[in-house]
Amino acid sequence: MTQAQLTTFYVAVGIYIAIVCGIGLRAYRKTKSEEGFLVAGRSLGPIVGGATLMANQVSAGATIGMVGFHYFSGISYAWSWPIVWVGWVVCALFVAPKVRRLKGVTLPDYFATRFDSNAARAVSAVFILIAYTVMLSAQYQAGGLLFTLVGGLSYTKAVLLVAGITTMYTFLGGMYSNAYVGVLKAAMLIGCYVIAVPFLIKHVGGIDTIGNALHSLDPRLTGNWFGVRQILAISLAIGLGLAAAPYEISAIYAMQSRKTVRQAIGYSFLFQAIIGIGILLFGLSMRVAVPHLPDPDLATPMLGMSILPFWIGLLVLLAAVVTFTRTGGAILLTVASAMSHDLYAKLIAPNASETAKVAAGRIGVVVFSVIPVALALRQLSLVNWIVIYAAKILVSFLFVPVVIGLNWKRATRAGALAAMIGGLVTCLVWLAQRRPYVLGLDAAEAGVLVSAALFFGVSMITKPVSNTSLEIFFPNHKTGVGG
Amino acid sequence: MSAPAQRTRAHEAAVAIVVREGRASVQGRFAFTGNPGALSFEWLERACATVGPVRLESFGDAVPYARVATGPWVRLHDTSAVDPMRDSLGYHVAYDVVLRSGDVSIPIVLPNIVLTPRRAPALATVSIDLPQGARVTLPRMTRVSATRWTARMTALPSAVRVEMDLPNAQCAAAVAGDRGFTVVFWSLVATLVLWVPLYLWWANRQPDAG
Repeated sequence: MTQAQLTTFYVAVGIYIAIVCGIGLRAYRKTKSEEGFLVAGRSLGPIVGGATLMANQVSAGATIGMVGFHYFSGISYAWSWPIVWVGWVVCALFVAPKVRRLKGVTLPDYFATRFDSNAARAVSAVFILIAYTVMLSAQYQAGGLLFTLVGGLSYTKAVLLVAGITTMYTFLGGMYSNAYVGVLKAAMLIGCYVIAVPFLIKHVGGIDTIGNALHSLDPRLTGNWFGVRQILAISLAIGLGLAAAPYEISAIYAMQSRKTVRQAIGYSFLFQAIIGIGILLFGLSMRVAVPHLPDPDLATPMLGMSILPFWIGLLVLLAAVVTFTRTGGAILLTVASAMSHDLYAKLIAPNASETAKVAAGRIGVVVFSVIPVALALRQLSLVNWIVIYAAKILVSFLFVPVVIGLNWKRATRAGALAAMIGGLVTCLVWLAQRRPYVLGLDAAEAGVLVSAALFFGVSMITKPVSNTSLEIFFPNHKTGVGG
Repeated sequence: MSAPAQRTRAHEAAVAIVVREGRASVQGRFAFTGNPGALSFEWLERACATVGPVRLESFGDAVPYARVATGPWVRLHDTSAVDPMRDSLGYHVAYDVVLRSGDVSIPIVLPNIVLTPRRAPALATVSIDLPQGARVTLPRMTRVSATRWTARMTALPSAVRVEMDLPNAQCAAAVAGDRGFTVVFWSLVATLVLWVPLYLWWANRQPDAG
């Protein structure tokens, strides 16, 4: 980049920050209550809701990490999109309708209400903190790499800059800010891929030429670099994790009605389809255009900085900036709400005022922005691998108690606690083996299986939860228990 | 991760291209900080651009090589006995490309290895001299004079695409495609696109109560 181009990039980032702050300050006036701060006053419609769901899912793991994945592994990983969407259908069928009945704010609210247990609230909140701290570090790492390459900053300064931007708008606006920056993100990503992909494909030589060049480099690039088993394992971990993901549950709480949620999921598919195809073609084209990058995660930054014409490249870089700051914001908000709402307001200071709860949420945003910075500075792995590890951890302790717990009356608090602890420990043990498919199972599969076994087994031998707790989720429930 | 596993530190990776009268003369210089041993070079064949004989030299001596074509990628394997006692290694690559279209990609012969910079973050430099009125369309290069363009990058591109007036240029032949990949790609696109109306159709039929 020339100095003038670099200056333009920083000015554009500055304008983005100003817009985000504007949205945040406007939202700040609306967020006098905890419900306003964390779930946008339950005001989101289907398109803003769809953009919010998409914006939560399409993180830097996608715009930087997945482009890098396609760069080194070819087309096969793209089949994860439709399989991941199965998780959304599970969410639309089995999670969203029931979760909407609870006027909750966070996922641990569900645990506390459904299982009548503050212990379940506390355990889920702490586990969410662990998994999302890892996930947030991936966003900061991606942003750090981009600003290092493009802006010429040191990696440490770049990570701090990204963390600062993310923290600022989450601090100011909470879910209102996240929702409307989500719309901005959807517009920028779609605009970026619609403009950049045709240009790139034309100049690299067309789809056929890309296929031929990749196949000759390595036949696995156009075939199955990731086998069916591996794609299924990764996609189901991400997809089923999404069905119970805390930040997606918060987005569902934030929508106007159950019908809005169903429609929003459809709009998010539309946004994701365009973005997924764009991400795929970015990665594949870059492998042909620049076959020997030092790090696959540099594919998107280099595409924006050195390959595409300046204005198109600027759009690609800004879309990436919006992506990792916005998803970082959603994660940060979830982490902060686990801290402020579930641990502080519900367990430590139940009589706290609304002002004190909002203040605790904002302190949580700042405090939990720091730990992922430390992880990002260590660069644990490729960005998308970190996202996948975090997804595996999440699904291992959340999927069973959320999805089955919402649909099986006999589930008990002891069953839920055993499922969360057993699922997480099993997943971590599997991941620590550092080899795939120990006993024929992926880490997420092992975690979910153990979690399910404990959930059913322990629930059957322990005392059922009260009818009061069940009536919210099972409106036809009168007396007694049963599936 | 996969990709090209072998990587080495380098302190020079410079490519200079001069385009005149339908012919591009390309010179590449690569200097490695350590001694990676005998290397391979490669280029991606492009439609309407024919790469002529490649001259490979190291420290002023011609380097013998074996040429192997795998689809559109052509690889040159250095068959000389590289002295393992050397603490550095350098190559000079020179070749001509016959251009048969005014909108064409000029292939760059690259070391088949990941080069990591010894100091500066951007190692690779590319420069091109074009006839009056011509322009570079990919990658992004800075115009430093009426006919000269330069760029400094993290890694070398596989080609430089240019647009210019090339009277009487005739080129109909394209590099053959991979139909298998094309089928897989469009199947994926169709799957993603079909999901949306099918899901919305289902979602809108669901009762709101319950």
